[in-house]
Amino acid sequence: MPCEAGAGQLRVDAPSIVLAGHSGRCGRWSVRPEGDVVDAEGMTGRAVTDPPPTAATDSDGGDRRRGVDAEPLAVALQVVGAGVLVVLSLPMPQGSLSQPGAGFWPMCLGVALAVLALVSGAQWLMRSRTAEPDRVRLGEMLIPGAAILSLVAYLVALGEVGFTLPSIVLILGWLRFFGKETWRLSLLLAVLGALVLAVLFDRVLGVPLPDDLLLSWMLR
Amino acid sequence: MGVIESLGLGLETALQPENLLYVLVGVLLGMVVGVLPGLGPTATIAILLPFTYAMEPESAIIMIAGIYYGTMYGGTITSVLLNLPGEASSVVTTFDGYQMARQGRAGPALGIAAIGSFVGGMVAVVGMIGLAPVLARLAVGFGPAEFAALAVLGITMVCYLGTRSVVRSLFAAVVGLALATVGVDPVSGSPRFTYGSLNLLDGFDFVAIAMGLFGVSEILYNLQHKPPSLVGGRGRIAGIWPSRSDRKEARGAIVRGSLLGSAIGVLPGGGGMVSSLASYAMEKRRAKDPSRFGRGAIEGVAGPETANNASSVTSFIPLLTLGIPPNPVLALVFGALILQNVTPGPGLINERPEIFWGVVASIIIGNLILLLLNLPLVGVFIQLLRVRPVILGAFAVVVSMLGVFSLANSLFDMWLLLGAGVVGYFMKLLGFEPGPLVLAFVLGPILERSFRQSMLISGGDLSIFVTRPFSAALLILAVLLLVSAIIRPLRQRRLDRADKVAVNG
Repeated sequence: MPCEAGAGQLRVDAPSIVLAGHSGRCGRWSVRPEGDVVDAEGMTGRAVTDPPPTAATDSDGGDRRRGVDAEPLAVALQVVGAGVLVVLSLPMPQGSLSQPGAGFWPMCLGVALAVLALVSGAQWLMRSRTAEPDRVRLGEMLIPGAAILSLVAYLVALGEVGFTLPSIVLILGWLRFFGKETWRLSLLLAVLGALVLAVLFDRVLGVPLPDDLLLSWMLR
Repeated sequence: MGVIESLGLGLETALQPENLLYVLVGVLLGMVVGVLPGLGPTATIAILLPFTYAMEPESAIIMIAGIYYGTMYGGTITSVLLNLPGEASSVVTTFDGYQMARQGRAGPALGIAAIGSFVGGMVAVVGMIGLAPVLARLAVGFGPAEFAALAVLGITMVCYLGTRSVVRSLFAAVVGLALATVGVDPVSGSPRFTYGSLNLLDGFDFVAIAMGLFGVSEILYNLQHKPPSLVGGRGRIAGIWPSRSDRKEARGAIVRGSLLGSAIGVLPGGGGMVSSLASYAMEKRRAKDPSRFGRGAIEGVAGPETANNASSVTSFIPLLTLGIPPNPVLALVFGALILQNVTPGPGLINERPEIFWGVVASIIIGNLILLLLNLPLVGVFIQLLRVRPVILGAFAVVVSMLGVFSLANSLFDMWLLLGAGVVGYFMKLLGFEPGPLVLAFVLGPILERSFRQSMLISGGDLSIFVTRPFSAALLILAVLLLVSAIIRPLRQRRLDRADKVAVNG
């Protein structure tokens, strides 16, 4: 199953629930009440029949037409990736087909990447003008970006002061700022959760976590 | 060993108290995950991989299998009651299942789905018992050329069946192959891409890569694109047992779904979503009055639900007999077995019968548990939707970090996990799928080794791949898929244009 959570963009007409755009990038399904979606193409898992009708109700309320076209970005990344692999494989011994060296296989893969990058580029250039490309907006990356930074800080701190303190701060921050939970609930869950996990892994399962300031102070 | 004896051994394994517990934990977890949108079976299994390390190999895969087919049951509930597919393969169920619910027939929809799933699972088990030993015997004669061809076909199929661009999926797959080359070259023993780092000498850790690409990336993505959670509302269902006419209408669909799903599961790239779509298409085409579909036709629920469960069972066959995982979930099972120093392949059934037959028996038990638990617990599972996704995400990240650390007690793996998560997140944004990458990462060493062995055998003659009948057939199939993948976008473009005209006109 190539895309497990790709429930895609779906609009629900049950009275109390309106959702759209969940995991839309992964699989773009449109579920219509008539459900007349699966046709012969459906056999291949490509039952996309119409451009997302949910554009206007995207969960972040954004307009799909804004933002940067994702396709040239993807092509550029592919070219860079292929180039990097080829360049890195060059210094290794290549050998011959009958006696392949260590660098032979990576080089084959680098060439394959280059070919695929070219095909992607060609597909982008030949794309029909009516196509509605995926767009990448800076705005939609703010929260995940902040989350990534918080995780970097988390790992740095974890190496310094152990598991418990950074985990409390991380969970608290995520629940309060990303989840919009109340301070009280966030703090409660963060402290309880982190302590339970720390005791479970460090003491019960015996995982040698980095020295934990808080835990060793509490369990002196 | 005869089938009965072997099955006896399997039951003995599966009925050991701790394995029974793992089946139960697996299927319950699977149902929970199936209900919750935003966390699919792949992400869950990936996050739980480190915890299987401490188990016996058969227990580990018994639990993972339980999660996998458990989600097939769980996804049905929210699809029918709320039109919310909890995971991809139950998207199809929303078409008719939700319509049935709106007509007050949620009970029979859920009932027939559970019965169908159970029947499908049992048919698939029979298929597994019949087919797997045959396939394993056949595979004993496979040389490196055949294994290389199988790996290529597996990767191609997964890319072909992906929901996005085939070219991008292939690109992701080759990146996966490239990532697998980091570490010591299996033939010459010289280090590749390690740059003096001891951490890299063993290569990238599969678990960290899989957890990052599937689990952490999903969590990051969901922070912005929030999956739904239930606010208010209660699922109340009456009359679960389908009426006689319901059963009559659904019988054919269940039989066809069982066979179709079992067949698709064995194919590389097959899996839940593909089989449920195929079954829906088949039922609709066969129906006397296709216009009933999408308006609450019970066959539209029974067929796909049966098929997706059947395929989730038979997809274990290629892994346990050939050592080739047919889809990303089975790639995770492969990873779990490798972690245990068990290499799946043609010899597995004979060398470790308790693993193969234990899984077979546990699937029977697990499906029974699901059939019995599914319907009474519907109300409870609906309440799960109250759990807010961010709370789930925050704890899932922390548990993932702990889990990956516990495998090798290495901070490096935690960074690798985060790195893979970030890469996976941006892949999603740019329209690349992580599935092919992870599958290729697993198959990478197999493919490279068998390719280079083939070259040594043939003295550098590439024709070895096409002069051997099996590998030739497999490669031709792969090439056909690629060709059709290139042609299809062109055709699709014409269809799009026709659609636009129809909409505007």
